[in-house]
Amino acid sequence: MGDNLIYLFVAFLITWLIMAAYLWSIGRQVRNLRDEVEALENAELPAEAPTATPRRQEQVESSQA
Amino acid sequence: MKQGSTRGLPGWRFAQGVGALAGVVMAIALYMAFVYAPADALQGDVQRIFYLHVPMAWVAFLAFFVTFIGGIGYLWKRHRGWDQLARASAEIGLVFTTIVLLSGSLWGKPIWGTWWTWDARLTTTLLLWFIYLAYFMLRSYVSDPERAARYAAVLGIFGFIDVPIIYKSVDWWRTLHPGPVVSTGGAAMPGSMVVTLLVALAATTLIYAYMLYQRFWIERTKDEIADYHYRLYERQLAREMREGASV
Amino acid sequence: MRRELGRIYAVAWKDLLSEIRTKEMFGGMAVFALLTIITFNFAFDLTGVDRAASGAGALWVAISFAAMLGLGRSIAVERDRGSLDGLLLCPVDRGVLYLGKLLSNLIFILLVEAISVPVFGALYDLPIYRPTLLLGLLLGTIGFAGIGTLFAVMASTTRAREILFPVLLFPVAVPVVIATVRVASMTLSGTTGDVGRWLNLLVGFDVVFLTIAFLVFDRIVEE
Repeated sequence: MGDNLIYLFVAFLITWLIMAAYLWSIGRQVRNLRDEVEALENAELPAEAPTATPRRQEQVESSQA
Repeated sequence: MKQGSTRGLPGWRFAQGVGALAGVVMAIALYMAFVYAPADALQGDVQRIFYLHVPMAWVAFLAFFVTFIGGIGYLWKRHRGWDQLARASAEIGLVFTTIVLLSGSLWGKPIWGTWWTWDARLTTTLLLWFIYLAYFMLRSYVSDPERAARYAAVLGIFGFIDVPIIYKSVDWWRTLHPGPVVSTGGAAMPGSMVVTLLVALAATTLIYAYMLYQRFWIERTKDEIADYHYRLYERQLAREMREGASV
Repeated sequence: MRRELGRIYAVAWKDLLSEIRTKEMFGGMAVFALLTIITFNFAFDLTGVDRAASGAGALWVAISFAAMLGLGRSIAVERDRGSLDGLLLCPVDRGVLYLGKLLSNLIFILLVEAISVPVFGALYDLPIYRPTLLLGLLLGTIGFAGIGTLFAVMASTTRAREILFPVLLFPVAVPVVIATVRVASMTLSGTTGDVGRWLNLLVGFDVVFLTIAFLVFDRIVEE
């Protein structure tokens, strides 16, 4: 039985390595996306300021439809 | 873009709670698997792989079922949320299936004396793995995301319905070509083993729920960012056309 | 009902007529199937006593590979010529278009089988004219062509469609492969014990997947 323990050990090791790597990759994606969203939220206002005259805004609105 | 932030998503904090709970239950499950549950009379300590392998297999199947439901929901309602759910769940299912195949192999080697056997369960799991690998290849090869969602939904439906048919066909095929005996002696399993298995199943399901929530949020936010860039591009285009017209 | 059948027939006839004029698909499929059968002879010794068991596998692999080529081609050609868009503009149910394409693909594959199966029987001296074997082959071909037609339409709009199509098709088609090969090898080796169960499985597969394909085809081709 003793030499079989290596299989038990490797099985748990591989499983937890994969799980840890996957959880880490999910966490990283969440962080990156959150940063991106924040960057966009901050950049949004100045970028749209020049087009913010009412008449043009209306045109933009209709062109989206 | 406000709703794209994690703060705006209801239940983000709840999901963190689920994640913490999953960690605690998993710790208990590991303790039970190694200390509380007795060593199997025939297989010895290697049998403890079972507490990891079986819940993973069940939850992987649950994940593909969610993908199946998401596919039906998308084709029916055409709401993008269904597709985001389907692809989030399919990825977790693929990761779990990979673990199931590897841990099953590591159990098979000492117990059956072989890494692999063409048993119905193993073969069906391997084919499931290939079907959902194709699911992601299909998604990455289709450039239009809306069309990719439709195609993936169809493959998710076909793949899931195929599972019992594959299982049945491999099962009958194997009975004609006898292989190693596949029996974990489920009927004679002591109560402490059953309890340990159930705790491990709860832990794995909680981890799945936690991962699904995060993956779903990732898919949703990616789509929203893509939408935002598209709107920006449209606005830019409209502006350029107006300027061109005024010149 | 009769009108729908007429429409299915019209779609299939269009494909057959186009093939009669261009002759670009059928010849290639048939030669490919024959070459595969011959290549298998070098890969496995198909002249020994167990040729009934392994020969059935070789036959089905040859047919399914040739079918895959034909299915991919028949849809890809429609896409490239833009005739699929024309078909979609027709005022008929999309499911009818699916059945029409399926019928023409089925006819091509069955014609390939009509050539390769007798050649296979003659080359390896196997009694292939058994009703169960032919029925199994027919049911398997229907299932394979059924999901193949749908997946070929999906793969045809993608990059690298030649690679993607078999990757989509083969894992899902595994029950068809197993059942068809079992029916053929059991018939050829004379053990007709459980052939009925395999034929039932094939019928079940065909009914389930053709129904789903018919229902979702509309969602696949919309632009």
